[in-house]
Amino acid sequence: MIKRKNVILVTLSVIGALFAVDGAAYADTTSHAINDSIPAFQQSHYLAARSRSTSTTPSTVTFTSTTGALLLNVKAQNLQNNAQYTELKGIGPDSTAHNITNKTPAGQQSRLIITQYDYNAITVTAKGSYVIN
Amino acid sequence: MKPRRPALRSWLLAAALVLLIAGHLILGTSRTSNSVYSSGVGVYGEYMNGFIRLVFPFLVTLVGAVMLQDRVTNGFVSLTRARISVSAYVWKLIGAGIARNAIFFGVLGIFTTVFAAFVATARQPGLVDPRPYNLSAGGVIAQQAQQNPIGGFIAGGPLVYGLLATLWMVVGAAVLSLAASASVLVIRRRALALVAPLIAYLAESILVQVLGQPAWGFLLILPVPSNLQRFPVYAAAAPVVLVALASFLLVSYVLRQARTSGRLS
Repeated sequence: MIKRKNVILVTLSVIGALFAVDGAAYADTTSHAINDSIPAFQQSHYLAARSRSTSTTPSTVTFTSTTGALLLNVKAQNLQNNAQYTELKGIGPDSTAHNITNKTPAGQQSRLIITQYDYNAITVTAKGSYVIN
Repeated sequence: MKPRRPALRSWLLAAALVLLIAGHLILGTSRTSNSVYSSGVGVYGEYMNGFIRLVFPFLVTLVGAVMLQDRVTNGFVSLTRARISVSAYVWKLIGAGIARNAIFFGVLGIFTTVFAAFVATARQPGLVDPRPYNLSAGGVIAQQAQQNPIGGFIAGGPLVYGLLATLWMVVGAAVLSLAASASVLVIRRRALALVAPLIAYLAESILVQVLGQPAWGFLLILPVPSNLQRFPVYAAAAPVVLVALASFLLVSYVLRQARTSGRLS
Protein backbone atom coordinates (compact mmCIF):
# COMPACT_ATOMS: atom_id res chain seq x y z
CA MET A 1 0.00 0.00 0.00
CA ILE A 2 1.56 3.31 -1.08
CA LYS A 3 1.20 6.09 1.44
CA ARG A 4 -0.76 9.13 0.31
CA LYS A 5 2.07 11.40 1.60
CA ASN A 6 4.63 9.68 -0.65
CA VAL A 7 2.37 9.99 -3.71
CA ILE A 8 2.03 13.74 -3.13
CA LEU A 9 5.78 14.15 -2.54
CA VAL A 10 6.71 12.24 -5.69
CA THR A 11 4.15 14.16 -7.77
CA LEU A 12 5.43 17.50 -6.49
CA SER A 13 9.07 16.62 -7.11
CA VAL A 14 8.31 15.38 -10.64
CA ILE A 15 6.51 18.67 -11.41
CA GLY A 16 9.42 20.62 -9.87
CA ALA A 17 11.94 18.67 -11.95
CA LEU A 18 9.96 19.31 -15.13
CA PHE A 19 9.92 23.05 -14.43
CA ALA A 20 13.65 23.04 -13.71
CA VAL A 21 14.46 21.14 -16.94
CA ASP A 22 12.26 23.46 -18.97
CA GLY A 23 14.40 26.37 -17.81
CA ALA A 24 11.47 28.30 -16.38
CA ALA A 25 8.45 28.27 -18.62
CA TYR A 26 8.25 31.96 -19.32
CA ALA A 27 8.67 33.73 -22.65
CA ASP A 28 11.86 35.70 -22.87
CA THR A 29 11.12 38.87 -24.82
CA THR A 30 13.84 41.07 -23.36
CA SER A 31 16.95 42.21 -25.16
CA HIS A 32 20.18 40.55 -24.03
CA ALA A 33 23.61 42.06 -24.52
CA ILE A 34 26.25 40.37 -26.67
CA ASN A 35 29.87 40.97 -25.69
CA ASP A 36 31.46 37.73 -26.82
CA SER A 37 34.46 36.29 -28.57
CA ILE A 38 33.67 34.60 -31.89
CA PRO A 39 36.36 31.97 -32.59
CA ALA A 40 38.64 31.94 -35.64
CA PHE A 41 38.21 29.79 -38.77
CA GLN A 42 34.39 29.86 -38.72
CA GLN A 43 34.02 27.85 -35.51
CA SER A 44 30.60 28.21 -33.87
CA HIS A 45 29.86 30.40 -30.88
CA TYR A 46 26.63 29.66 -28.99
CA LEU A 47 24.59 32.25 -27.14
CA ALA A 48 22.67 31.19 -24.01
CA ALA A 49 19.46 29.22 -24.63
CA ARG A 50 16.17 31.05 -24.00
CA SER A 51 12.49 30.12 -23.92
CA ARG A 52 10.26 30.84 -26.89
CA SER A 53 6.77 32.33 -26.63
CA THR A 54 5.60 31.82 -30.24
CA SER A 55 6.76 29.76 -33.17
CA THR A 56 6.41 32.50 -35.78
CA THR A 57 8.27 35.55 -34.43
CA PRO A 58 11.81 35.77 -35.78
CA SER A 59 14.66 36.35 -33.38
CA THR A 60 16.58 39.58 -33.94
CA VAL A 61 20.25 40.35 -33.62
CA THR A 62 22.07 43.70 -33.75
CA PHE A 63 25.81 44.27 -33.83
CA THR A 64 27.26 47.63 -32.86
CA SER A 65 30.93 46.71 -33.22
CA THR A 66 33.13 43.80 -34.29
CA THR A 67 36.93 43.52 -34.39
CA GLY A 68 38.19 45.06 -37.64
CA ALA A 69 34.52 45.54 -38.73
CA LEU A 70 34.44 41.90 -39.84
CA LEU A 71 31.08 40.39 -40.81
CA LEU A 72 29.30 37.53 -39.02
CA ASN A 73 26.75 34.80 -39.80
CA VAL A 74 23.87 34.09 -37.42
CA LYS A 75 21.31 31.27 -37.27
CA ALA A 76 18.81 29.97 -34.72
CA GLN A 77 18.61 26.45 -33.33
CA ASN A 78 15.77 24.56 -31.66
CA LEU A 79 17.28 22.72 -28.70
CA GLN A 80 14.40 20.21 -28.50
CA ASN A 81 15.20 18.53 -31.82
CA ASN A 82 18.45 20.34 -32.72
CA ALA A 83 16.87 21.70 -35.93
CA GLN A 84 18.67 24.71 -37.39
CA TYR A 85 16.90 27.39 -39.38
CA THR A 86 17.90 29.61 -42.30
CA GLU A 87 21.21 31.36 -41.67
CA LEU A 88 21.71 35.07 -42.29
CA LYS A 89 25.15 35.53 -43.81
CA GLY A 90 27.27 38.65 -43.74
CA ILE A 91 25.86 40.75 -40.90
CA GLY A 92 27.98 43.82 -40.19
CA PRO A 93 28.23 46.10 -37.14
CA ASP A 94 25.67 48.49 -38.65
CA SER A 95 23.51 48.86 -35.49
CA THR A 96 20.52 47.53 -37.46
CA ALA A 97 18.25 44.76 -36.17
CA HIS A 98 18.37 41.70 -38.44
CA ASN A 99 15.59 39.13 -38.42
CA ILE A 100 16.79 35.57 -37.84
CA THR A 101 14.26 32.89 -38.85
CA ASN A 102 13.32 30.92 -35.73
CA LYS A 103 10.56 28.29 -35.91
CA THR A 104 11.13 26.86 -32.43
CA PRO A 105 7.62 26.30 -30.95
CA ALA A 106 6.39 28.18 -27.91
CA GLY A 107 7.70 26.86 -24.61
CA GLN A 108 10.78 25.22 -26.08
CA GLN A 109 14.35 26.34 -25.71
CA SER A 110 16.18 28.06 -28.55
CA ARG A 111 19.61 29.59 -29.00
CA LEU A 112 21.49 31.64 -31.58
CA ILE A 113 24.71 30.42 -33.21
CA ILE A 114 27.28 32.95 -34.45
CA THR A 115 30.19 32.25 -36.80
CA GLN A 116 32.57 34.48 -38.71
CA TYR A 117 31.75 35.12 -42.37
CA ASP A 118 35.32 34.38 -43.54
CA TYR A 119 38.16 32.02 -42.66
CA ASN A 120 39.89 34.57 -40.45
CA ALA A 121 42.83 33.68 -38.27
CA ILE A 122 41.74 35.88 -35.37
CA THR A 123 39.09 35.79 -32.67
CA VAL A 124 36.51 38.52 -33.21
CA THR A 125 35.00 40.41 -30.29
CA ALA A 126 31.38 41.15 -31.17
CA LYS A 127 29.25 43.66 -29.27
CA GLY A 128 25.54 44.19 -29.65
CA SER A 129 22.28 42.66 -28.50
CA TYR A 130 19.73 39.99 -29.37
CA VAL A 131 16.10 39.11 -28.66
CA ILE A 132 15.03 35.48 -28.86
CA ASN A 133 11.31 36.26 -29.34
CA MET B 1 73.34 16.03 -67.92
CA LYS B 2 70.10 14.10 -67.89
CA PRO B 3 67.20 16.54 -67.40
CA ARG B 4 65.19 16.06 -64.22
CA ARG B 5 61.66 14.88 -64.67
CA PRO B 6 59.12 17.72 -64.73
CA ALA B 7 57.51 18.22 -61.33
CA LEU B 8 54.02 17.92 -62.88
CA ARG B 9 52.96 16.33 -66.15
CA SER B 10 50.73 18.68 -68.10
CA TRP B 11 47.82 16.26 -68.72
CA LEU B 12 47.80 15.37 -65.02
CA LEU B 13 47.71 19.07 -64.12
CA ALA B 14 44.86 19.71 -66.60
CA ALA B 15 42.80 16.81 -65.22
CA ALA B 16 43.41 17.99 -61.66
CA LEU B 17 42.30 21.52 -62.55
CA VAL B 18 39.05 20.30 -64.15
CA LEU B 19 38.28 18.22 -61.03
CA LEU B 20 39.12 21.24 -58.90
CA ILE B 21 36.64 23.50 -60.71
CA ALA B 22 33.95 20.81 -60.37
CA GLY B 23 34.68 20.42 -56.64
CA HIS B 24 34.67 24.19 -56.18
CA LEU B 25 31.20 24.49 -57.77
CA ILE B 26 29.69 21.51 -55.89
CA LEU B 27 31.02 22.59 -52.49
CA GLY B 28 30.03 26.21 -53.15
CA THR B 29 26.46 25.23 -54.04
CA SER B 30 26.19 23.08 -50.91
CA ARG B 31 27.41 25.99 -48.74
CA THR B 32 24.51 28.16 -49.93
CA SER B 33 22.00 25.63 -48.53
CA ASN B 34 19.69 26.90 -45.82
CA SER B 35 21.06 30.44 -46.08
CA VAL B 36 19.79 33.87 -47.02
CA TYR B 37 21.91 36.68 -48.50
CA SER B 38 21.16 40.36 -48.86
CA SER B 39 22.38 40.40 -52.51
CA GLY B 40 24.10 38.44 -55.26
CA VAL B 41 27.45 39.70 -53.94
CA GLY B 42 27.05 37.43 -50.94
CA VAL B 43 26.18 34.39 -53.08
CA TYR B 44 29.24 34.84 -55.31
CA GLY B 45 31.35 35.46 -52.19
CA GLU B 46 30.08 32.23 -50.63
CA TYR B 47 31.32 30.21 -53.60
CA MET B 48 34.73 31.84 -53.10
CA ASN B 49 34.73 31.27 -49.33
CA GLY B 50 36.04 27.71 -49.62
CA PHE B 51 39.43 26.12 -50.20
CA ILE B 52 40.03 28.41 -53.17
CA ARG B 53 40.42 31.41 -50.85
CA LEU B 54 42.89 29.59 -48.60
CA VAL B 55 45.16 28.09 -51.29
CA PHE B 56 44.75 30.68 -54.07
CA PRO B 57 48.48 31.58 -54.35
CA PHE B 58 49.49 27.90 -54.35
CA LEU B 59 47.12 27.16 -57.25
CA VAL B 60 48.48 30.18 -59.11
CA THR B 61 52.02 28.87 -58.54
CA LEU B 62 51.15 25.39 -59.82
CA VAL B 63 49.49 26.75 -62.94
CA GLY B 64 51.94 29.57 -63.65
CA ALA B 65 55.41 28.96 -62.27
CA VAL B 66 56.15 25.21 -62.29
CA MET B 67 57.14 25.27 -65.97
CA LEU B 68 59.57 28.15 -65.39
CA GLN B 69 61.06 26.28 -62.46
CA ASP B 70 61.52 23.13 -64.57
CA ARG B 71 63.33 25.11 -67.27
CA VAL B 72 65.60 26.85 -64.77
CA THR B 73 66.54 23.76 -62.74
CA ASN B 74 67.04 21.62 -65.86
CA GLY B 75 69.53 24.12 -67.21
CA PHE B 76 67.38 25.02 -70.25
CA VAL B 77 67.94 28.69 -69.59
CA SER B 78 71.71 28.42 -69.57
CA LEU B 79 71.60 26.22 -72.70
CA THR B 80 69.58 28.75 -74.71
CA ARG B 81 71.46 31.85 -73.65
CA ALA B 82 73.93 31.51 -76.53
CA ARG B 83 71.05 31.97 -78.99
CA ILE B 84 68.59 34.37 -77.33
CA SER B 85 68.91 36.70 -74.37
CA VAL B 86 68.12 35.20 -70.97
CA SER B 87 65.89 38.15 -70.20
CA ALA B 88 63.69 37.67 -73.30
CA TYR B 89 63.46 33.91 -72.72
CA VAL B 90 62.53 34.12 -69.03
CA TRP B 91 60.04 36.97 -69.54
CA LYS B 92 58.39 34.84 -72.24
CA LEU B 93 58.03 31.93 -69.80
CA ILE B 94 56.65 34.27 -67.11
CA GLY B 95 54.17 35.69 -69.64
CA ALA B 96 53.05 32.18 -70.58
CA GLY B 97 52.45 31.41 -66.89
CA ILE B 98 50.39 34.57 -66.47
CA ALA B 99 48.35 33.71 -69.59
CA ARG B 100 47.63 30.18 -68.31
CA ASN B 101 46.50 31.61 -64.97
CA ALA B 102 44.27 34.13 -66.72
CA ILE B 103 42.60 31.34 -68.71
CA PHE B 104 42.18 29.01 -65.73
CA PHE B 105 40.80 31.59 -63.31
CA GLY B 106 38.74 33.22 -66.09
CA VAL B 107 37.01 29.88 -66.73
CA LEU B 108 36.59 29.25 -62.99
CA GLY B 109 35.14 32.74 -62.49
CA ILE B 110 32.68 32.49 -65.38
CA PHE B 111 31.40 29.11 -64.13
CA THR B 112 31.08 30.58 -60.63
CA THR B 113 29.17 33.57 -62.03
CA VAL B 114 26.68 31.31 -63.81
CA PHE B 115 26.25 29.07 -60.77
CA ALA B 116 25.86 31.98 -58.32
CA ALA B 117 23.47 33.92 -60.57
CA PHE B 118 21.28 31.08 -61.83
CA VAL B 119 21.91 27.59 -60.38
CA ALA B 120 22.01 28.44 -56.66
CA THR B 121 18.97 30.73 -56.88
CA ALA B 122 16.98 28.24 -58.94
CA ARG B 123 17.80 25.46 -56.46
CA GLN B 124 16.71 27.55 -53.51
CA PRO B 125 14.11 30.27 -54.11
CA GLY B 126 14.40 33.07 -51.57
CA LEU B 127 18.20 32.70 -51.42
CA VAL B 128 18.61 36.44 -52.03
CA ASP B 129 16.29 38.47 -49.82
CA PRO B 130 17.13 41.89 -48.34
CA ARG B 131 14.09 41.89 -46.01
CA PRO B 132 15.57 39.95 -43.06
CA TYR B 133 18.46 42.45 -43.18
CA ASN B 134 15.95 45.29 -42.78
CA LEU B 135 17.11 46.76 -46.08
CA SER B 136 15.29 48.04 -49.15
CA ALA B 137 16.47 47.09 -52.65
CA GLY B 138 18.23 50.47 -52.94
CA GLY B 139 19.65 50.16 -49.42
CA VAL B 140 21.30 46.86 -50.35
CA ILE B 141 23.21 48.48 -53.22
CA ALA B 142 24.35 51.35 -51.00
CA GLN B 143 25.47 48.89 -48.33
CA GLN B 144 27.33 46.64 -50.78
CA ALA B 145 29.12 49.66 -52.25
CA GLN B 146 30.39 50.38 -48.74
CA GLN B 147 31.19 46.78 -47.80
CA ASN B 148 32.97 45.67 -50.96
CA PRO B 149 35.19 47.70 -53.37
CA ILE B 150 33.30 46.35 -56.40
CA GLY B 151 30.02 45.59 -54.59
CA GLY B 152 28.25 48.68 -55.95
CA PHE B 153 28.19 47.05 -59.39
CA ILE B 154 25.53 44.62 -58.12
CA ALA B 155 23.19 47.41 -59.27
CA GLY B 156 23.76 46.00 -62.78
CA GLY B 157 22.65 42.53 -61.68
CA PRO B 158 24.48 39.39 -60.51
CA LEU B 159 25.85 38.70 -64.01
CA VAL B 160 27.58 42.09 -64.25
CA TYR B 161 28.96 41.79 -60.72
CA GLY B 162 30.11 38.20 -61.32
CA LEU B 163 32.02 39.10 -64.49
CA LEU B 164 33.65 42.06 -62.74
CA ALA B 165 34.62 39.84 -59.79
CA THR B 166 36.08 37.36 -62.31
CA LEU B 167 38.15 40.17 -63.82
CA TRP B 168 39.38 41.11 -60.31
CA MET B 169 40.37 37.48 -59.71
CA VAL B 170 42.20 37.23 -63.07
CA VAL B 171 44.20 40.40 -62.33
CA GLY B 172 45.03 39.07 -58.85
CA ALA B 173 46.11 35.71 -60.31
CA ALA B 174 48.33 37.49 -62.86
CA VAL B 175 50.06 39.49 -60.11
CA LEU B 176 50.57 36.41 -57.92
CA SER B 177 51.84 34.48 -60.94
CA LEU B 178 54.55 37.13 -61.38
CA ALA B 179 55.33 36.89 -57.66
CA ALA B 180 55.54 33.08 -57.88
CA SER B 181 57.91 33.41 -60.86
CA ALA B 182 60.11 35.70 -58.80
CA SER B 183 60.01 33.11 -56.01
CA VAL B 184 61.22 30.25 -58.23
CA LEU B 185 63.98 32.44 -59.70
CA VAL B 186 65.25 33.48 -56.26
CA ILE B 187 64.74 30.37 -54.11
CA ARG B 188 66.83 27.34 -55.06
CA ARG B 189 64.98 24.63 -53.13
CA ARG B 190 62.12 23.50 -55.39
CA ALA B 191 59.49 22.70 -52.76
CA LEU B 192 60.23 25.82 -50.74
CA ALA B 193 60.04 28.02 -53.84
CA LEU B 194 56.58 26.62 -54.66
CA VAL B 195 55.06 27.16 -51.19
CA ALA B 196 56.78 30.48 -50.41
CA PRO B 197 54.00 32.60 -52.03
CA LEU B 198 51.33 30.76 -49.99
CA ILE B 199 53.27 31.21 -46.75
CA ALA B 200 53.81 34.93 -47.44
CA TYR B 201 50.11 35.38 -48.34
CA LEU B 202 48.85 33.75 -45.13
CA ALA B 203 51.48 35.40 -42.92
CA GLU B 204 50.61 38.87 -44.24
CA SER B 205 46.88 38.24 -43.69
CA ILE B 206 47.38 37.02 -40.12
CA LEU B 207 49.65 39.98 -39.34
CA VAL B 208 47.17 42.65 -40.51
CA GLN B 209 44.28 40.82 -38.81
CA VAL B 210 46.13 40.78 -35.49
CA LEU B 211 46.78 44.49 -36.00
CA GLY B 212 43.00 44.95 -36.42
CA GLN B 213 43.11 46.01 -40.09
CA PRO B 214 41.80 42.93 -41.95
CA ALA B 215 41.00 45.01 -45.07
CA TRP B 216 44.73 45.09 -45.93
CA GLY B 217 45.07 41.28 -45.84
CA PHE B 218 45.24 39.14 -48.98
CA LEU B 219 42.80 36.59 -47.52
CA LEU B 220 39.99 39.16 -47.79
CA ILE B 221 41.24 40.87 -50.98
CA LEU B 222 41.80 37.78 -53.18
CA PRO B 223 40.48 35.90 -55.08
CA VAL B 224 37.54 38.31 -54.83
CA PRO B 225 37.09 41.01 -52.20
CA SER B 226 35.15 39.63 -49.27
CA ASN B 227 32.66 41.81 -47.47
CA LEU B 228 33.67 43.98 -44.53
CA GLN B 229 31.56 46.67 -42.89
CA ARG B 230 33.90 49.27 -44.43
CA PHE B 231 36.13 48.10 -47.28
CA PRO B 232 37.69 51.02 -49.19
CA VAL B 233 39.13 50.48 -52.68
CA TYR B 234 42.61 51.72 -51.72
CA ALA B 235 42.95 49.10 -48.97
CA ALA B 236 41.98 46.34 -51.39
CA ALA B 237 44.21 47.56 -54.24
CA ALA B 238 47.35 48.72 -52.40
CA PRO B 239 48.76 45.31 -51.34
CA VAL B 240 48.18 43.88 -54.84
CA VAL B 241 49.91 46.85 -56.52
CA LEU B 242 52.81 46.65 -54.05
CA VAL B 243 53.32 42.92 -54.72
CA ALA B 244 53.20 43.55 -58.48
CA LEU B 245 55.86 46.28 -58.25
CA ALA B 246 58.11 44.35 -55.87
CA SER B 247 57.92 41.17 -57.98
CA PHE B 248 58.65 43.08 -61.19
CA LEU B 249 61.70 44.75 -59.64
CA LEU B 250 62.93 41.44 -58.18
CA VAL B 251 62.64 39.58 -61.51
CA SER B 252 64.33 42.48 -63.34
CA TYR B 253 67.17 42.50 -60.80
CA VAL B 254 67.70 38.71 -61.03
CA LEU B 255 67.76 38.86 -64.84
CA ARG B 256 70.20 41.78 -64.79
CA GLN B 257 72.52 39.65 -62.63
CA ALA B 258 71.97 36.58 -64.84
CA ARG B 259 75.53 36.65 -66.20
CA THR B 260 76.97 35.86 -62.74
CA SER B 261 74.15 33.52 -61.64
CA GLY B 262 75.01 29.84 -61.42
CA ARG B 263 71.50 28.80 -62.52
CA LEU B 264 70.95 31.18 -65.42
CA SER B 265 74.29 31.03 -67.16
